[in-house]
Amino acid sequence: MRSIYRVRGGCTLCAMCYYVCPTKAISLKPNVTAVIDAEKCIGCGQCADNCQAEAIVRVERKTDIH
Amino acid sequence: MRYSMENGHIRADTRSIPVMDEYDVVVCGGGVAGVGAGLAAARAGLRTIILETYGALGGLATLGLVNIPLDFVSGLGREMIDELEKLDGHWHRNSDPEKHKLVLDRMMKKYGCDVLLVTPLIDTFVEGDTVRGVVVQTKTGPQVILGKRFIDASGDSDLVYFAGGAVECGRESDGISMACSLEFMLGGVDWEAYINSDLKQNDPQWIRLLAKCKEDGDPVTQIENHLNWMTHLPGRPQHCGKDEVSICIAHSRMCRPTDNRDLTRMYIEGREQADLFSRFIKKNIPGFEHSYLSQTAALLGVRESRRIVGEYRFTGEDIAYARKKPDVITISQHGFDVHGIETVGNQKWFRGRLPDGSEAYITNRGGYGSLAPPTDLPTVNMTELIPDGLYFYDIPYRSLIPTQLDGVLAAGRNISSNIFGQSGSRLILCCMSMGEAAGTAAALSLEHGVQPRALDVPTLQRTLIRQGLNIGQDYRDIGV
Repeated sequence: MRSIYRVRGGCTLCAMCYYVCPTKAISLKPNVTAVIDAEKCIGCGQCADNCQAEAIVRVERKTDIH
Repeated sequence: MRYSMENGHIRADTRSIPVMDEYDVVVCGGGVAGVGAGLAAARAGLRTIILETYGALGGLATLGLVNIPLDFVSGLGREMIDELEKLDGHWHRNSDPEKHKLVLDRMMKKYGCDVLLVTPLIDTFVEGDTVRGVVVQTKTGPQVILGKRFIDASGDSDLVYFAGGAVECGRESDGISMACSLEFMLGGVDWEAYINSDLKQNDPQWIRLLAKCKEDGDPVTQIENHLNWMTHLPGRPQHCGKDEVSICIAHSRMCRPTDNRDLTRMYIEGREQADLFSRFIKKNIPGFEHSYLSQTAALLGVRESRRIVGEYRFTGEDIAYARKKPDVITISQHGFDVHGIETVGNQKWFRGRLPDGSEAYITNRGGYGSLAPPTDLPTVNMTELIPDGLYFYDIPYRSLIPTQLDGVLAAGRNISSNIFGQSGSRLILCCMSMGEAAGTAAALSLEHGVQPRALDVPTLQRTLIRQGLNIGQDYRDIGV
């Protein structure tokens, strides 16, 4: 298991996560929300730390590597 | 002092005002912009003082309960946030206003920057077009502080205005400013219950909730139609219903923040609104069943007021197109956000021009806010205007320089801008970075013996980058 992050309700599209993500895993869907690409997310948590709306949460994910 | 009445005015006798002290750099205003300016100038080895009207540093970030330090964290802003974190005073871009005051006091001491609290600016001493000193009010009467460079971080351009420099205020048609908010804090909150509630997940800005309550005639819906922000204060016990939050939802409209009568109106109105909202929230919001109003802000949240007329007027188009400037000294990512001047809601759009020259309503990344644009023109999301994905924009050095006066720079919410440009550049960390740039520029201009407007900007930019300020160098080639 490893942690990744995803956006749930409350995103204000402030784009701070977009700038702080070290792997450029985050894109902005205009008028809707920021989206985190689970494949690119390394689970560092920078996005969640910088989210003013506490809209980004950590989720557990099964790893593809056995 | 002797006075005589003359044509409805009181005329003061010729008087002499004692000189209290002389500094290299005098910063008017101890909000985050002034703090950034004072620290940067003191760090450069200059004898520096910050003059603050109220009893603590930090301005709206502390006294105003706007405990939401948003925008890029770098330079002195980075140090401030790191110090807050050491005190358990920061998380998720939410800060503890009390710990914030302490951190700023300690940073002043560390860098050797003098501070005078409870010392309002009342006038300036100008020779020709050059500011030479400021007159402040003290407990023993007016006194003069002389200086070589002055930074107007007063928020309302008090220094430039008193010195006779050109200023503008509010919207262009009638000078009315953006809505002002008195923030308030609630205690006894079960934050976990709120954050996991259906309301937070599905209606995070309470738009549908307030619309429904409007049908029932709830008076709070006359004040605002959405939650602007709610911060969760760090360092409080969690999971036990004892969390504390600061809320921005109260609004006064048709504001004239440089009129003391109107300011008084807004403080009183804000406290009545906080009372109404605290009851409304207790009744309607999950997790707030046992909440109580713990305080209203000591300082009214004035978003926009008197601004300098400078060498470059920063505009909404600069934000919409994420324009990059050769004389960048600070960057920001915040879109335009004009809180309803006349009515409830916020306007995250403006009428601007598209690349082909036609007109449209250009909206923020996140949409148009809660005041919809008219339908006579197309609506375009600003993201479409920024194909390279570099959504941040540059604050140019020229916006800090007043057109006529010498010896002065501005920093913070009162830089040269129109109301839409200003609505983006007013965030806490952006203002602090502008201050850091202004303080550094003041120091360099003294070192090189030139006026701030004649300063070699690449030298300033190289210095700012060396000091760790993010002026966009990680994202693009600035060419210095």
